[in-house]
Amino acid sequence: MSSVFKISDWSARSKGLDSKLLFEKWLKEGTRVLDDDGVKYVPGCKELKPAVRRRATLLSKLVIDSFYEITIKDGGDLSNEAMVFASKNGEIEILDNLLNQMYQGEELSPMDFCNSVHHTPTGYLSMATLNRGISKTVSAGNNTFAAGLLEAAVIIERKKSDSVYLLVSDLMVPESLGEVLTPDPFAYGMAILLEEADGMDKNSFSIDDIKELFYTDSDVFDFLKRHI
Amino acid sequence: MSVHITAFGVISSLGVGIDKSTDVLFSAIPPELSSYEKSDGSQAPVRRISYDLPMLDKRFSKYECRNNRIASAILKQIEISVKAAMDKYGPKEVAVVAGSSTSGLDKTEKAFKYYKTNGNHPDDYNFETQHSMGSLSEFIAKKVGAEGPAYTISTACSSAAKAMISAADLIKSGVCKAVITGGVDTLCDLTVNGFSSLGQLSEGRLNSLSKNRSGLNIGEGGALFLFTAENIENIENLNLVFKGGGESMDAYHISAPHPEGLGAKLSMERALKDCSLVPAQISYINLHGTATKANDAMESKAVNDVFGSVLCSSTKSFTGHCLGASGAVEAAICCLSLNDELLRLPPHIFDGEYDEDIELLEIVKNEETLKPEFFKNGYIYFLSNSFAFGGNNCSIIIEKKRAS
Repeated sequence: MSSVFKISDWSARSKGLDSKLLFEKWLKEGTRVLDDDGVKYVPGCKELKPAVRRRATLLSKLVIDSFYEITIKDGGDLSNEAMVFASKNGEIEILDNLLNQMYQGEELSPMDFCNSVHHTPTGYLSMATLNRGISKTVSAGNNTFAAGLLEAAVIIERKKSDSVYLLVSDLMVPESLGEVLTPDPFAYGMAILLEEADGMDKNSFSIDDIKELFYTDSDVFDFLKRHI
Repeated sequence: MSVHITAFGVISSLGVGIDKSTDVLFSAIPPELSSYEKSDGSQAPVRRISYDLPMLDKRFSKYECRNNRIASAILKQIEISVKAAMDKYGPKEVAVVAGSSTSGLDKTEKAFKYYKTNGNHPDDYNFETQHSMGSLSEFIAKKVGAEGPAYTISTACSSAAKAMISAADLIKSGVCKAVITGGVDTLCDLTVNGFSSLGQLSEGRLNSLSKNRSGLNIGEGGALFLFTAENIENIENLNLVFKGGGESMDAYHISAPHPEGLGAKLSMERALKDCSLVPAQISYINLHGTATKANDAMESKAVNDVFGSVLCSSTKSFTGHCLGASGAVEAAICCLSLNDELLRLPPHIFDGEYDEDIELLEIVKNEETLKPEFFKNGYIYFLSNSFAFGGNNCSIIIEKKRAS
């Protein structure tokens, strides 16, 4: 377990925070300009082909729009990248729709059912980028980010890839599905490029540091603030 | 470094435990199908666990759901080995990485209906500890007292197989010394009605590779494995090793597999590379074999492209498609076959009318045993495939040390 890791790049999306710049400002200063218009934020995902964009879920678009902000400048081949998707609740809005359809006695929407699996964003992202690399999806309650980071670090430690895109996203849980004791501040999507660092400095971290996250209340936002 | 399979337990429609599962599997007579009522009132044949699953101990009431009851019943089968690992390594060196696609969804379905009718949820419903995917691994960790990292892999039908690769990687990279891994999934309205909406449910028994095949029987169940960095004293050595695995994405469609099996080929090739093996060293493949038109057509092509001739079977005619747990249940079937004194291979049960429009595979007949040439070097290798929505593919390889 000798490797040390760094966040080489990252981006994120949420309502009122639709760029890395704005998200970073929120992380550091807590500022967020929000139109209280009741309209759900859906990222544009202009890089996606229309056919994929039409079908992609909100969770997928939050992740994909963030991902493209950190990869588009490379213009490189994304066909063999390793990805880890971390989400506590996955496609929770689609699940709510499906349960409603069943409750109303309607036939289930086949498209909704296909889109209801926890790892749906990884499917759309692989279709968009023609990526055939390793793809993992993790869920672990309040330790979901820690689990995703550990999976990503181990992929690098095991030399299965030099870098990993760690994608993190969650939506707000509909009231019909139950109570969340420590909800996220908002629906968001995030893409983080994880690579091996040259050595230990104030922004880098080891697998032991990641393991410690499982025993603390640190979430993805706390972690980013400390390591970017 | 080898990742030892120190213990494993299994529950499915084959029955409870290794002995019962072995007896039913090699009888070549799949159990009777059960019935599941769909939303439209019609019945779908499914593979249900007929064992009466006891409620969880009161200490774990916040985790109470069928999925965790199944997990609890499987843990009982490996509890001596798990305790030995905890005693040897200490709780912080024991992690949990399990796979699931349903978690406590059956309980959520009931709670949702209750909410719609009454405006509140039942008192015994807890979204975070019953519904959430993370619930399975968190419950397993709490039940056994493991304090290492605990998380769930959820990639639909490849969940458990991927969990096992992750578990092995945690040990190989020194993160921990032991991992409880595998997967559990439960029958529920959403999956039965969902696959029905796709036209992928068979009206009869799952009939993989047949020209008459018409899709799945949804199943439920699970298998849990104790992976360890070394053999544990006073625990019988099964001489089984989780050799490794390969993963890939199709990059093709959100639910249909790549018709040429590109992703499936890639995951099998990567599994071989990960294990430093060549195709000729694999003596048996447990197919994903869901009996959908698309899967069987592409998987038969992919297997032939990579292996040419190799004995294979789909055991989903016995267990149904256990979705997120299928990789674990089928890995357990591989393990019990590898440990069988009579060297019997899991038979391929279908109506005998092979689809001539798909590539021909060498399928395991009833009572067929391992070929002698696979004992020459003292190691036997089985491969198991799991392919999921979103083109998310996984192939795992299990090794058995066996002189004769």
